[in-house]
Amino acid sequence: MRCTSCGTESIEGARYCHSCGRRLPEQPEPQFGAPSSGQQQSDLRSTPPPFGAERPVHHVPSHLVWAILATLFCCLPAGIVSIVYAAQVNGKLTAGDLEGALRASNSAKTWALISVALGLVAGVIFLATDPFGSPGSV
Amino acid sequence: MHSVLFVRTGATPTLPLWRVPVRAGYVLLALLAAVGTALLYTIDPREPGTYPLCPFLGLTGYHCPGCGTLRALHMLLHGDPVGALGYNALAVLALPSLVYTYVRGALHTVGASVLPRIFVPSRWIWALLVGVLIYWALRNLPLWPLSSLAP
Repeated sequence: MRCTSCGTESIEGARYCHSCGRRLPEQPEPQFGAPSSGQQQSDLRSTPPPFGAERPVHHVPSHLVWAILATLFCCLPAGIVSIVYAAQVNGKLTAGDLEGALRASNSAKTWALISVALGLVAGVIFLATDPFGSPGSV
Repeated sequence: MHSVLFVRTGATPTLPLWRVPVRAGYVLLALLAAVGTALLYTIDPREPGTYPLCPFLGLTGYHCPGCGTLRALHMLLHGDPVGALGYNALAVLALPSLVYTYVRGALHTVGASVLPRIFVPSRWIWALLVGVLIYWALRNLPLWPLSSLAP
């Protein structure tokens, strides 16, 4: 079976992809034979995810990198708002609220775009009014 | 069906079609970073009038959490990490995570998903937010030990 996220061929019986850590689709139940062999199968299938038990099943982008970039290079409140939404995405993911996480993710994306746009506008205005006026830069 | 959803490329046998524009984005970012690195290495942002002023600093007179980032990167490029931390510690500390995210995503687009995706627990992100706000406030206080946080 192939991982739906990264396409890597998964190890037989694994519940999580060994390459990207994403949960694999449910596999058909193993043949019901002797109870001992069934027990073995279930032990094999309960292989823990590779990176910590807290790791949520689904991946929803938090756009945290864009939040950090906006805070460092743009210094507008949009960067702060983006960090708040990024925290909400991962908090809701951990809590199992997939829909809420998706909503927060979309807001984070919107604010990342807003911060880029505001930064460009502010840069243009300053170039037009006070180009290279005072010491100290971004 | 497969011939519609997948596209043949030179490097790897088959890649999903969505990865092609994403990969172009990564290439564009790399080009921008290369130009930025060359500019920052050769043109010293500590010299007044070399780069535009931070809009927040220009409007309010206060330093923002990102002020000093260009000077910090310039110091890093010239092999002075201590000087870089003095201009913007936040930028220097954030840099490894930015580089990791870029490298991981870039490798992913060429089919080499070798680096794990790092899930940042939300309480760490809230802590980051509090840290940024405190850093923002402290570097604007004109008291001696704190004023060294200003760029």
